[in-house]
Amino acid sequence: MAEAKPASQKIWLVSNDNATMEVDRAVVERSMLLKNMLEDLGGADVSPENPIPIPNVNEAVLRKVVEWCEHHRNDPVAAPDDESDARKKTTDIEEWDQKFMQVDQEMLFEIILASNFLDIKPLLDVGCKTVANMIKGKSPEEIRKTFNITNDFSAEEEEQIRRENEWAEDR
Amino acid sequence: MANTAVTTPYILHYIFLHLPQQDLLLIQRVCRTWHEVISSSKVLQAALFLYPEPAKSVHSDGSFELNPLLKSRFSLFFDIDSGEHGLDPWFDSNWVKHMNLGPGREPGLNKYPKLDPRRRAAYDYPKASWRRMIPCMPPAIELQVSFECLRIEGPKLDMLRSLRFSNEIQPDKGPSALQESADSELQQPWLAFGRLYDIVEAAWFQCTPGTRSAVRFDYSFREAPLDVGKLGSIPGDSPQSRQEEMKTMSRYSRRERLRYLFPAKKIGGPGRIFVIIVVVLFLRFPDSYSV
Repeated sequence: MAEAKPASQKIWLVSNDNATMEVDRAVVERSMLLKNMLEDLGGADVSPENPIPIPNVNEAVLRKVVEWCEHHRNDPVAAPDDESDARKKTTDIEEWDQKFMQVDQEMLFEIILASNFLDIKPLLDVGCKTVANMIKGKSPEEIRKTFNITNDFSAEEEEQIRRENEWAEDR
Repeated sequence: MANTAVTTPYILHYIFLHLPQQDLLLIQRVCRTWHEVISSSKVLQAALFLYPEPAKSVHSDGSFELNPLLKSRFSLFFDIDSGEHGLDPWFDSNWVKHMNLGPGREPGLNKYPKLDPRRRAAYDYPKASWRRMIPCMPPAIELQVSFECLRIEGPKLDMLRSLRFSNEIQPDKGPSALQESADSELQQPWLAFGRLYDIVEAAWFQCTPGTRSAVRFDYSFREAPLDVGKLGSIPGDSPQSRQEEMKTMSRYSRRERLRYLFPAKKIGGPGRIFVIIVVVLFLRFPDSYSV
C-alpha cells in the first residue's frame, strides 16, 4: 500500500515580484509542472525560507491561479488529451469559472499564460474558452479593436483572403 | 500593443480549438499570425472541413458529419433527412440562385429570392473557399454518378462513372501546401465540394434544355468491394443543343475543366466507402439521349 501524503502538507511559492504564499500541497499539485517537481524533490526541501520560485508570474496573477486551484482541488485529474479529440465542440463554462474569469483582459491573458507555464490544463481550457467566446460572432475589424491587434496584411493580401471567404460572411 | 497571448501561436491554437467553423473561417483576416496558425494546423483545417480528420477519429460506426456551413448555404444539396433532398424538379440552369444562401430560409423553391449580385459574385469567385471544402467527414472515398431515366416502361438507373478518392493524409502535403495551388480543389486527393458542384452542374447540362429535370443525392455507406474502381463511360455524343447552351453560359470556362474531373487513374483502396449518387431524373426522356 502506497503511503498516503498528508493533504495538509504545506508548500511555499514565490512570485517573480517576491511575494511568498503558503499553499496546501494538494492545491499546488493541480499544476502538473509543480507536481512533477515536488515528486522529484520529495517536497522536503521546500520551506518558507526556501520557496519554489515561479518566474514570469506576478503576485496578483499567482493569487488568482491559486484561488482557482483551491476551488478545484478535488476535481478528478483528466486523462491526457488525445490529439484527435483536441477540438472542443463546446464553449460552455461552469458558473463559478465564469465569475472567476470576469477580470480585465490583461489579467485574463496573464492567467492563460501562467496556466500554460504551470501546466494546469483545465484552467488553460477555461481561459481559452473565455477568449473564444469574446471572438465568436465578431468581424475581423471588431476583433482587432477588442484585442488591440495590428492588421499587418498588405491591402492586396487582405482582399484575397476576404474574397475567398466572403460567401460565408453573412450570419 | 496587443498582449502576447493573442500573438503566441501555441496559445492562439488552443483558443481557436474552441471556435465554430464560420468564425474560424472569417478570423483568418485578422492578422498574419492568426492566418498562419489556422492555415498550418491540420486540426483546425479539419475543423474547417478543408482537410480530412485525423485517421484515428474516423467513425467506426459508419456515421458521418455533414459540413455545417455548406449544409446551411447549399441546403438543397444536403437536406438528406427530409426525404426531399436534392434539387427541386423546377430549377433552371441558373441554379446557384436557388441555393439557400442566407439564414432562416425555408425549403421550397419559390421561396428563394434571387440573390443580390454582390452575394452571387461572392459565391462565383473561383477561389471561394467553399469549393475546397470537404462536404462530409469522413470524406467520401467514392463518388458515383448515375442517370435515372423515367420512362413509360419504368425507371432505368445507369451508372455513368464512379470515381475513387484517397483520403489519406500525406505527410509531405500539409494544409498550407494544398491551399497555395490555384486549382487546389482539383488537385486535392479527396472529394471537394467544388468538384461535386461542377459534376452536378455538368450532369444538369447532360439534360436537354427545357426538359424538366432534377438532380438528387443519395448518401450511403457500404463495404468497399475488393476490386478497385469500376469505370463506366460518359456518353460521347452530347446533344448539340446542350453544347451550344454550355458555350453561352458565363461560367463556361469553369465547366471546361470538367474533362479533368474524371481522370483515368484509379486511386484509393479497400475500406469503408462513402457513396454519393448524383441522379439526374429525366421526367421526359430526351430524344437525343441514348443509353
